Amino acid sequence: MVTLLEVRALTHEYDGGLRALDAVDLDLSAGEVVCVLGPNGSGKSTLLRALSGVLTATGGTIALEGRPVSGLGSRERARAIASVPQVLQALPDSDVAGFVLGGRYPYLGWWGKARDGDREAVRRALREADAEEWEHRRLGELSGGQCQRVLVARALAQEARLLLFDEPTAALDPEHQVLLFELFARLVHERTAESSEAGGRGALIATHELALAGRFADRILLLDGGRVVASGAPRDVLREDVLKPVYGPHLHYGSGPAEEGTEARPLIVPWPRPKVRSSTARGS
Amino acid sequence: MRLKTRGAWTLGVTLALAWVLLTYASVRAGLDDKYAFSFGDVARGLAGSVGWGEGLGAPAQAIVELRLWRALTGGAVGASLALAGALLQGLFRNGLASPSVVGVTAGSVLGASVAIALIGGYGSGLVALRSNLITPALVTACALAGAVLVTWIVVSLATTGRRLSVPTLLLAGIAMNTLVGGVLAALQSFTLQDFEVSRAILAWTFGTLDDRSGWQVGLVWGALVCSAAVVPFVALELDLFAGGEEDAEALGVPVQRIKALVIFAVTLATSAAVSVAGQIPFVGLVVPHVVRSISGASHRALLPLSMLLGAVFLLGCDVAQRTWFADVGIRPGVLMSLVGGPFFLFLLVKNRRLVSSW
Repeated sequence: MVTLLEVRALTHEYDGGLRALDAVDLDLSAGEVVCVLGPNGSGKSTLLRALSGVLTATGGTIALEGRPVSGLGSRERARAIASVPQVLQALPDSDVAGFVLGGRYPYLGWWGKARDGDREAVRRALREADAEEWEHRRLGELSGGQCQRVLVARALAQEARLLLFDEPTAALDPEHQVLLFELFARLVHERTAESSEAGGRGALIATHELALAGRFADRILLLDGGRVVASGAPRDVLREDVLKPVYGPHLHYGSGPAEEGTEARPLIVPWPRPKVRSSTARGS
Repeated sequence: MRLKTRGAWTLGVTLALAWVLLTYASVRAGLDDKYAFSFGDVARGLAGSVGWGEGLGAPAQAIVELRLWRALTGGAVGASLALAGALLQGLFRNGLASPSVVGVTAGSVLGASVAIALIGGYGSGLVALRSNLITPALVTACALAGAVLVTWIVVSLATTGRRLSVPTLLLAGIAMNTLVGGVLAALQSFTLQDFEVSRAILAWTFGTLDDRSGWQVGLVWGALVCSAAVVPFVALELDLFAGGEEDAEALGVPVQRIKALVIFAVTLATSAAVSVAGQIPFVGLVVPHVVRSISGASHRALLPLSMLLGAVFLLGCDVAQRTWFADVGIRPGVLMSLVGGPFFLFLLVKNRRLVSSW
């Protein structure tokens, strides 16, 4: 497998000394969906921001296809790494096609002139993200789930090999959560299967959805307090002895239905700790 | 963001023609029939003033020149202020931004007022006496210095490391505006006894286009050309700012460089305009909104069209004032507020999307 991303000893301290990332190592190959789990404040977003170049980490190295990211210009980096934000600060007053064209910024010429290749890339991205039918709608008219797909389409228009998603399903109903994760898996697995490995994509998804991570991730990275606590296949990470010290006692550990040709995946949902009735509380 | 290309071009060409016609109308406004200059006369006068051809000969040449300087100053000042407003509204992602928020206007007024107080007056209604050419030069230079100084302070307060924080810029601008306003009020109360000085300061805060000279035209046009040259390098990028700075950065936009370019262009355009014409309110705030309601939010249309409409708006007010209100002595800035305020309110009520999308 071709290693897309190689992160070594990535460390970041915010002004004021808060250490958000502490010697994080991470490898991601083409064709892999890696979910980053961890409680609020564990460093997931900081990791993704460092990877997308929005934040310069105070220590460690990030290499993309063997080249250090720090040596890339901003446009060059945006052609290699596409990032889907959790939400936009504001929705631009624009139609969907025009917004997705924004993903072509690292390729556009002077005055933002779009060439045929750019328009074709936008159409392809909309098709891949199942967002074609809203091409001419205004962004403000779309539902949350539709908006997420348009954001994914914009990232695809960047034609980057590494896709970053920061809590992409945070505001979506269960139906759209599943559809979106299916889309991620398809984008990564199908693209890698049909093209040569050199053109394959990889995805890094920060999420709180333990059940969906268990179902769709090829590998899971568990962060706590900026450190990697566990890393590996879902069945090795999504276990009570691993998760309980990180997430606390309010989780229920089960198993998803077995699917054809694959073993059952771990199914973990938030659930209150069963109350143990104390026999001494009432007295007699 | 997509360009409504054809509509933008039509509007652009119309506004450019209107600018030329209003420049001519401004030269003609209120003149006796004895000096019924044709369009060709004015063009010849302009050519003559920069050394092409023979000009019109005395005294017509002098009259045309004096009036042309006023018209050319008015157009460039309107264009500069509207461009600065459109740039800042894009940078702040907020339609309430105008050139005054970063302190550039207040700094300029303070600089000019200090100069006026030191000189001890400025002649009646800012009409510089021919015998005293140093006075307008000194006032303009001080206004320019004040604008640049105050903006520099605000920008350095808002910069940590090499990153400029836009919200801090806004707050620092508000704080500096208050501080400078206090200093200005103090200066005005100290000079209250000196009728000449206090009247000149007051007049300057209203803004004026009276009696501009050739070098002032050069200053404001030079600044306008330099700041307009920034537009192609920031227009598309400001569109991508709409989703937030981090989003733009992740798309590959060199965010810090864009912010620096925008602040540079805004400071240059506004300080030159205000130091030549005094405080002209409203153009920088309203014109971008009007353009946005016609041609959409894309900065590739918004920035050039705001420049053109700003020029037409200010020139139009000036021509209207001198044609119909010449006896009342109302100033173009005042007329602009009286006409522009209600017009802006009308736009708001008619087209509420204008506000909700910003």
